[in-house]
This record gives sequence, structure tokens and C-alpha cells, in this order.
Amino acid sequence: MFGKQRNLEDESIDWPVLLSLLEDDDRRAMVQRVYPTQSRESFLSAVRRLNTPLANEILASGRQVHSASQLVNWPVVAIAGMLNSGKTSLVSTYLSEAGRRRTLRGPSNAQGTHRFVLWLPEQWRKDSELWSLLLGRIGDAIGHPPEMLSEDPSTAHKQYNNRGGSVSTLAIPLIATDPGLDEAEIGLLDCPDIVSDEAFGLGSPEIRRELLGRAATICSAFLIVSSAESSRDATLGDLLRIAADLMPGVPRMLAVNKVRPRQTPDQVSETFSPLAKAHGIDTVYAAYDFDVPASRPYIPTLEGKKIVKVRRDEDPLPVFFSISENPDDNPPAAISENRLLCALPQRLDRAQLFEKFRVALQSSLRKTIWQEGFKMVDQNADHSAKATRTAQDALLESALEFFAHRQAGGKVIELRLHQSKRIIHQLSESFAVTAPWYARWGVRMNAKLRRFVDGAGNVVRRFTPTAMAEQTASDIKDKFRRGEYGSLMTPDRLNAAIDRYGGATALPHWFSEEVDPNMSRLTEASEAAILRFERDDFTQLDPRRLDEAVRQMWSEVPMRRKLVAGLTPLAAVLAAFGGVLMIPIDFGTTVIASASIPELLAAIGMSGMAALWAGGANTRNVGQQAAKQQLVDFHAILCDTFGVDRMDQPAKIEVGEASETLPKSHMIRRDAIGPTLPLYRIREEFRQELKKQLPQE
Amino acid sequence: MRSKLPFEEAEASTSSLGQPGNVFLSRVRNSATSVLADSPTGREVLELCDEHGEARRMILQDRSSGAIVIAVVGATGQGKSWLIRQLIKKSPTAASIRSGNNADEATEKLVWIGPTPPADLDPRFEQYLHCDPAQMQSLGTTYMLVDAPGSTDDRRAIAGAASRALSLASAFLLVVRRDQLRSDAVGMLTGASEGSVVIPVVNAVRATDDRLNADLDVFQSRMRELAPTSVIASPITIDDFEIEGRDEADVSEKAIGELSLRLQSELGQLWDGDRRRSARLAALDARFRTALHGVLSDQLPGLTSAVRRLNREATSIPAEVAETLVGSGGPLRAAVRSRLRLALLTETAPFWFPYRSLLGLFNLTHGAWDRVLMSLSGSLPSLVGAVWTSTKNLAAQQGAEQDVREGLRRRSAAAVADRLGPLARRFRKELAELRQEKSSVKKALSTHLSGDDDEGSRSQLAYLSGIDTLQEASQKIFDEEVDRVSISQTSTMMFAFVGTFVFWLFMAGPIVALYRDYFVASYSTLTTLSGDLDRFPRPEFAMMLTSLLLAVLPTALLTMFSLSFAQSRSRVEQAETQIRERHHHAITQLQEKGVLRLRWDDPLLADAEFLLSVGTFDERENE
Repeated sequence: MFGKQRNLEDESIDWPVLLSLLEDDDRRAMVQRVYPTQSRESFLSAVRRLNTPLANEILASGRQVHSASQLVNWPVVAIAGMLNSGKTSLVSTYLSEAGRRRTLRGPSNAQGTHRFVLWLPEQWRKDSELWSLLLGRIGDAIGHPPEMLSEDPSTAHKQYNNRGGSVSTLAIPLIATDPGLDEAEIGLLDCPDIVSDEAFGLGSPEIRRELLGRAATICSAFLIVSSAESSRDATLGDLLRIAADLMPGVPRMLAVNKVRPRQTPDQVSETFSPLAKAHGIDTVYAAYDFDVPASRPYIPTLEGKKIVKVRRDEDPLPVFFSISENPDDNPPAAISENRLLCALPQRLDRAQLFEKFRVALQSSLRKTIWQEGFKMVDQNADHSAKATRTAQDALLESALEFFAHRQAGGKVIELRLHQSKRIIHQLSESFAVTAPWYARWGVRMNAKLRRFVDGAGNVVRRFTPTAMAEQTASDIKDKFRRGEYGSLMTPDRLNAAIDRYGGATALPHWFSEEVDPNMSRLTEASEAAILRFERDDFTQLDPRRLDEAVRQMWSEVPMRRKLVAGLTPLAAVLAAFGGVLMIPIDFGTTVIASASIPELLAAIGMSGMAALWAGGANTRNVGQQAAKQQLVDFHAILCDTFGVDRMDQPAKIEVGEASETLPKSHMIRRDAIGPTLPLYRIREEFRQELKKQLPQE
Repeated sequence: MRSKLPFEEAEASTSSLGQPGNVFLSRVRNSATSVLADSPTGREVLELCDEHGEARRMILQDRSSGAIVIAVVGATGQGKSWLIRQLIKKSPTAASIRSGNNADEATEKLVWIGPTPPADLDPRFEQYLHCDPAQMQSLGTTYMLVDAPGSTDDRRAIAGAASRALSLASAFLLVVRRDQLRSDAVGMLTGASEGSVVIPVVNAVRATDDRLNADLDVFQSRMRELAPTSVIASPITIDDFEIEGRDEADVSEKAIGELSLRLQSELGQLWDGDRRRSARLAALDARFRTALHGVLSDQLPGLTSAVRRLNREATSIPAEVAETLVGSGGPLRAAVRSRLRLALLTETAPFWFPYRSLLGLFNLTHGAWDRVLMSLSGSLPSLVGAVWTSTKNLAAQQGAEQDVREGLRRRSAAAVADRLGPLARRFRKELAELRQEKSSVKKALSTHLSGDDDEGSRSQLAYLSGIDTLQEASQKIFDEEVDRVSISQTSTMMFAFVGTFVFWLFMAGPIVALYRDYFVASYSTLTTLSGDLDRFPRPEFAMMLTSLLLAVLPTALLTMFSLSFAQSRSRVEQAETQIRERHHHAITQLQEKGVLRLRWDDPLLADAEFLLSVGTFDERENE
């Protein structure tokens, strides 16, 4: 496992080449956008669409990998640690006196470090290219361009403490230079603690952790500072985990500050060794509390040491030295110069440090691209497909609410026909043409009577077949209105149906995260869908089969009924059809009446004929074929209008005992009325290419 | 068993205090088990319930036999054990309490220190050290000390033991080092100890510290904000005795003196047992509800939305379904007509012969037509029709009424299932997604839930209660409205009189002639005792039939007229309108009174609804 990883990281990542893949929105694009428009999207655009900070993070990581080689001789060490453990004091041990005055130290709230402060050697500033690179890197890492730490100590203290600042200023790093670091030739990143309470208005522990994680990516080594009593504190473990997770392999050291004389160096070593082992810490340093007189025998003297440049009597600072498990190695006399933390810069092997830094950066970039970016976009594509399916199903169910005739209990027994002018016309034609002589008589009689009674009083007219037909038409309308037969679709009813079959969950692009939204928002789209269907529905019944079916039905009418029917039927049938056509006139144009042919016959009181029609497979099929077509057409219109991709596979529905496969819609695609639910697919070509350029761990 | 006894006693003594919360907790637990099953959210909720249950149990239990329990809490390495040692320094037990930064000096268990061991000691997390009351710092009352491990310990078990201390005690010494005052660990401990007495102890104060007082003020006000129901005393500061010029004994004496004074005054303000506990329980329950709400509502938007939608539907369904039960125009009018005819018939006395017999005959034939109409109206009679049929059949067939009632129930159930079906399917889909079940498991679940192999979603989810009451009201409305429009007594009498009169007007001639001849023949026979049978009248059948026909025809016409008058269109329409209006009113009223309402028949849904409402409706707690 380790061998494989080493091999992976041995090859350096060519960021410009990788970037061109990540930005390619053409041949090597990651995402195929299927709906609302066919287009391709690059990896970075897709990540930016979902999580802009992550896209920026990937770019920053890439840039860091790319520019890392230029910084081989300019390492930065992160000084992070527990609350008031002495991080800034430790940083101060490397600074000149002037620099130390600019630092803020002390246990009170007003003396806490609440900004990231990057201390750099003064001479680095002279190399303007390097300087801007460094500034760019820290800005890239934390997310905001840095600000210079004031030369005036009191202003610098305010900046350190983020006085007058807010949570957002916590993320603006401070940059300072100091000649004290010139010889050491390292940068030090003084980090704020990660446990200060949110109540102070300077960022919650979570925000602080996140910022520390980001800042970690510019550091070649970590020095975690803890006070002696925090050996078992969960936060210390968290800090070490953050360093290990974000910059794997980068050297980590622990500095235990404010050790009391009750604890000997070997005891400190024993106490912290489980933690050191668990988190792969290279060296544990300790510094005794210089405020406690009894500590003095443990503190190594700096007199005569070459590395010590300043007198510290007036401004005492902790003296960290690496501790040993062996008590004999820990008396001050036994502590050589190179065991002091002050000597750390000299001891650092730049080449090795850089190699680890490079590996960590590459590993971090690989992780960010595969584990975060790719995974997120992939999941989003899956989610879009799932959401589209849910929306399609909900719209189909909503359409079925009007196009399906259900029995009590909800089972679909037959499909209803949209009673469009075309269908009604076909039906009335077919009924008139195929009607037997005794039924036609009714029509003839009607015409004659009308001529005869023309000009007669209302009473007479009321009893003529025409008046009866008008009455029938009016009855039909009432029956539709009451929902006794067929169904009427209005925008409000369509909204309610959508609400019943999924509502906000099914159409998340209309309602975002609302839990109990108002469906009236859909009214405009519902109206548009109904109007378009009314206008564009050109479905018709198969004329030959319709005639055959109607003829067959007439022939099956029993003699007893023929006598009854002979007197009234055709006029009544035709009037009933006319009544259905008149529904939109009564209810407004945004209404669709649908009913199956048997329902229509039953509605005009010809239950016998209805039973005959429903009973014959032939007759039933005529209407059902057209009804299925209308259903998918209406569903397609609903999908278009509500901004959902149409079904690519034919849907299946249960009608009666059989499972029916719906045909393809004939409707032309139109733009959505409101928001759309995009559908994405991940392109396999991109996955392969990315694997080639950035093999997965 | 032996160790459970005191605990059970304690539970019994405080059962009234803890009961509502326990019921609530067990309902949450049951609901979470049934709704969320083994999903990650389900496990999270159950874990939360376990923790909460344990915390409640510890608050309710009186483990110290009435003595006040003072716990010393804080983050790791703050000097808690040192403070405990100072409080019992006269006792040899003090030597057993170790403190320091070395690995072997850490407190890893809850240590009880006091005159009597606590009840129900759990050796996994707890330890008891005896200390004579005389050797403990005097506070004017018997007390027990609990030394807690660090609340921020990296080892979860130890941090868990530390959090137990927060439920055990009613007074806390919150120890914090001076340089850790702004740590969020302090805030978390303060929030978790809400409802109790908290005395902050600020430890390791160095020699020169100008900003100490300002920081302490901020610290105290932050604590008060975080735990508004707690009594937060002003902090006690303890100097760092290792700094030059200080002595541990002096520092300790000063600190303990101050601490005992503060403890005495604050403990004196403690409320009596139950009130104090109830405040802590309330705070604990509120935290639990917030945590639960955070886990559920925010993480399950789909399920929340599905349940709310179902609830919305539940308020509109009863009225709509009940209105459909009243039935459509045709059958209702037929029922009204039948009833009007019946009224005319029953109001006409048998004395009016043969008008009444004719009325009965016509009634039968009319009734047949109406029954056909009603039978064609649907598979089940409408509500009003059913009432009429049931009353009519009451005497004849007892079973028929039962049939009608069952039919209505089935019909209302079907209507409810129709309306709720899609919503129920949505709810179950969300639930299945939540439980992350595979499709096969999902199918098995829906089958199991519905008991219906075809389609689980359309199964019975709720039923409409109050149908019987509606039916009774309906019967009353129907009777009253029909009576109101039915033909008046006078008209009935008048029709009866005219009908009978017309009949006898035509029929009386032949009958009187017959009787006259009969009486003459009888008289002659009786006076002469001749016995000639030929003298008796012997009318021709044709003549009698003709007379009868002539008499019946006008009577029948009149009867028809009276029937038509009694069930005139205007009467029927008037009655129908009134019946509908009054039904509508009755349904609204019944719904307002909560009689006519939808009752969830699916425990899963009821559970989901309960779970999701937790935290939004505090009153649920008392259910």
C-alpha cells in the first residue's frame, strides 16, 4: 500500500496540463448537460456551480503544487496550538527585539491572537518575485489577500487581536517581516487557537478549524504548542489530526510549554509520548515556566550559545529543548545546542523538507480533485437523474389523475380520452354514419319537427327532440362539473394533483427547500400546459376501427333496447357530445374535459350502451389507444412546462389487470415556463483521461 | 437485583416528577424505532434517547440519601482534583486523590467523596472514597463531593464519565484556569449544567494580571447568557501558588475559606428537592428536544414535507367525504318522494275506505319506480337513502340496517383511501429512502405495512370517525325536513273525504238499491214466513263491476292527484335544498366539535408525525 503511494507521488503533477483538462468544456468535458439544453461543462465549471469555494480551493491547490518548486529554499513552519499555550511567545523567540514588540502575548482576552500572522525573513522581501509569490500563496490558501502587520506595536497588537474586526477579518492573514529570521531563513505562521468561544464574535471553533486547515497547505512543517496540562485534551488531538490529514507526511513537532517543576522532563516525555506515537510526531520539545522560580534548574542556559542573538532578561521567553525519555539526558548541562528549538531552522534539511512538502501538496490536490470535486459532481449527476425521475413520475401520476378512470380503491380500470373537438367530431360522425335506420329516424324526425314547430310556443318546443338534446347537453355539463362522470382539469385541480403526487419534493426547482409551500405558484405553468394541450392535441381515433366498433355496438344492442333507443338515441348522443364541447365555454378556456367513451355514454343515460362498449375488446381498444397517446402527450407537455426532462424510456402503467406500455409523445419540445430541473451525466471519457493524468490513490 | 432496590425506590418516589418526560422519551424511542428503523438517523436518535434517559435517571435518582451533591467539573488539567483535596484536606482520604499533569495522575472515573457511599455505584465509571463529615470543609449541611474527569478528555469513555457528573449534582464548582477563560469548553459545560447552581473557580491566576477583572466580568456574563435558568455565582479566583512569593497552604486556605462562604450562601438559596430537580429536568428536556429537532426536521425535509401534506389533507377530507355521502340529486329526490308518499298514507285513517286502499296500491307502484332509480344510482345507497331504507326496514329486517351501516363505512373508507393514497405512497417512499432500503426490502415493507399485495400505498391509512353520529343527525334532518314540507293534516283529511265521498257517490246507488230490495225481501219472508228465495235481489256481476269501475275511476284519479300533490316537485325541491343545507351545516359542526374527523389508522404515520413535531410543539411533551 505504501509502495503504491510512493510511486504515485514520485511522479510530479503537471498542473498546467491537468488544468487544461479540468477546464475543457468540449471534447474532454466532464459533464454532459442533457436538460434543459444539450451542452457540456468542464470539471471546474461543474465544481464551481455546486461549490465555488471548493473550485477556488482546487485552483489554489493546483497553483501551490505548481509554484512549490520555486519555494524549495523558503519553507514556512506553522506554529499552531492550544489556547494560551504560548504560540506567539514561541514565535517571538526567533524574532528581533523590534519584531517581538509587535507581537501580542498574554493570557487575557485582549491579548489573544485572532489572525493568522506570517512572519518572514526581512531579506525575502528584497526578491520581489518571491515576495509576490509568497503573498499570493497565503492569500490563495486562506482565501483573502493578506494585509501587512503594522510597524507600530500598538496598531500591530490591534491587528493581532482582531480588535474592531469581525469573523470575516479572521480570514485575512497578516504579513510581517523581521531581520531576526534572516539567518534562520524560514517563515513562521503564527496561527490563532481553535477553541475560543464563538461568543466573542471572532469566529466559532469550526470556522477557526477550517481556516487552520486551509493555512496548513502553505506550511512545510508543523509545530504544535501545548501547555503541560493539556496532554489529554481532545483539541490537541484534533490539531494533530488536521495537520496529518491536510498535509500528510509533513514533519510535525510538539512543543510543551509552561511545564512546572513538579514534572521532570522525562515525565513530560512519558506523558506526551502516547500522543506523539499516535500522531507520528518527530520530536517533543518542552519549556519550563519561567515565572516559577523552582523551574530554573530545568531551563537550559543560553549564555554562550551561538544561536542566541539577544538578551532576554527584560522580556523573558520560554526556552524549548527536545526532551528525552532518559532522565540523564535532560539536565541543562546535558542539553546541546542542537537540541534547542531555536536551532530548528539550522537543522532542517531543506531538500527533504521540500520533498515532503511537495508530496503532501500533490496528495492534497489529488484528494481534493477525486474525493471532493469529482465525487461531488458525480453525486450531483446521480441526484439530478433521480430528481428528474421523481418529477417525471409525479407528473405522470398527476396526469393520470385526469386521464385514468379509477375504481374505488384507486385501481385504474380504463384511460380517459381528452374530449377534444377532433375526438368529439369523430365520435358524432361515426355514431351518425353507422347508426341503424331506427336510430336515424330520431334525427330525421327531429329535423322535421323543428321545421314544423318553428314559430310555435316554448311549451311545444320543450317536448321536441332538439330541446331534449339541449337538456341532455346541459345535464352532461353538470355531471362533468360534479365529477360524476369523467373529469375536468383546471389549473387549480392540476396544482392540487401535483401537490398530492409529490408537490415540493417532486418539483424541488420550483420550491427549493420549502416544507409546506403554496401550490398557487404553479398556476401560470398549469394554465400554460392546459392551453397548450388543448391547442396542440391532434390525437384522433383510428377512423376505420372506430366505425367498425360503433357498428358492432349497434348490432349488439338487444331488441328490447332498440325499441327504447330508437326513439331518442342519436339526437341525445350527439347532443351529449356537443355538451362536452361546450364545457370550456362555460368554465373558461383553461379547462380540459376527459372521459372514456363508456363514461360518456353512461353520462347521457345510455348505461346499456356503455356496458356494451366497455365489454367489447374491440370497442374498448379504439378509445384506449388514443387515450394512451393523449396521456403521454399531456405528460410531455407537463414535463416541458414545468422544466423537467421528458422520459427517455417508455413508461408502463397498470390498466385493469394488464400492464400497458405507453407510446412515445408526438409533441414538439418547448421551453419551460419557469425554473428547470437540470439533468447531467458524467462522461466516461473524462473519467478515463483524469485517471491517466491524475491516478487515484 | 440487590443494587436495583434503592434505585427503584427513588424512581417510585419521583415518578410523578419524571413521568411526563419518561412517557415522552419512551414515545420518542418507540416512534424512532418504528419509523427510522436501523437508518443512521434512527441510530443517532436512539443514541440521543439513551443519553437523555440516562441523564434523566440520574437527575431523578437521589443517590446521596438526601445529601447535597457538589460536583467539581471542568476541562482537562484545570486543577479539579487539587480543589477537591483542599476541601477534604483534614481527612486521610485527601492523599488518595491525585492531581497533576503526569499520565498516572489523571482522574479517569467519577470519584464520590462523602460520609456514605452513593446508591447504585457503577464500578465501570465510578469510585467511592469515604470521608468523615467532620473532616470535610464545613458548609453547614451534609454534602457529597464528586470529582469528575476532564470534560475535554481525548478518550471518549472518560469524557462520557465526565458528562455523567452534570446530571448527578445540583451544584457545580466549574474549575477553569485563568488562561482558558475564553475556551468554548467552559461554555459547553455551562450550557449542559443549566438549571443548577454554578460557582466558577478561576484557577492559576498569576502575579500581575491587570485585565483579570474585565475578563472575569465577560466570563460571568457569558455563562449567564448560556444558562439563564442556572444560578451563576460570582467567580472565586485562586492564585498560582508556584509563583515566587506564594505558598500553597496560604493560597489554599484563602481560596477554601472564600469557597465555603460562597457555597453556604448559594446552597442556602437552593430550592427544595423536587422544584430544583424539575428545573434541571426541564432544561434537560428542552436540550433533548432541540437536539432531536436538529437531527430530525433538518435532516429529513422530504419526510417532514410528506407528513405535513398528509396533515393538511386530513383537515379537508372529512367534510368532503361526508358531503359525497349525502348523495347526488336523483336518489335523494326519490327518497324524499317515497317519504312524502308514506306520510300521506300514514296520515290517512283506515276509516277512509277504499280511498286509503287505493292510496296504498299507488304508493307501492310509485315506490317501485323510485327504488329502481335508487338502485341504479350506485352500488351503495347514499347516506340519506340509507337512513330511509334502514328505518323502513327496521321492523322487517334487522340485518338490513347493519348492512347499510357497514356499506357506508366501507364507502367512506374507500373515499378516504382514494384521497390519501398518493400522499401515503409519497410518505412511504420518503421513509423507505430514509431507511436506505433496497427495492426488494421496500416492496416487502409496503406489503407488510398494508397487508395488501397489490399496492401498499392505497391501503387503509386512516378512517373517518363520526360517521354514525352523522348518520343519526342525517336521519333527524331528513325526518324534520320531510315533515316540514309534507302535506298538511287538513289537506289529507280533505282528500280522504273527497275521495271517499266520490267513491260512495257513485257506488252508493246500486248498493242502496240492493239493500232496499234485500230488506223488502227479508221483511216479507219474516212476516209471511213464506221462504221464497227468488224475492231476494240477485244483481248481475256485470252491473256490479260497472258500478265499481265507475266509482273507482274518479276516486283513483283523485288519489293520483292527491299523491302528486303530496310529492309535488316544489315540495321535493324545497326539502332537498333544505336537507343539503342542513347537512352541510351539521357536517361543519361535527367537524368543529372534532366528532367527524380523520383518525390515523397507521401507527407508522402517527409515529412519524409525532417525531417530526418534536421541538416545534412543546405542548406535545405533556401528551
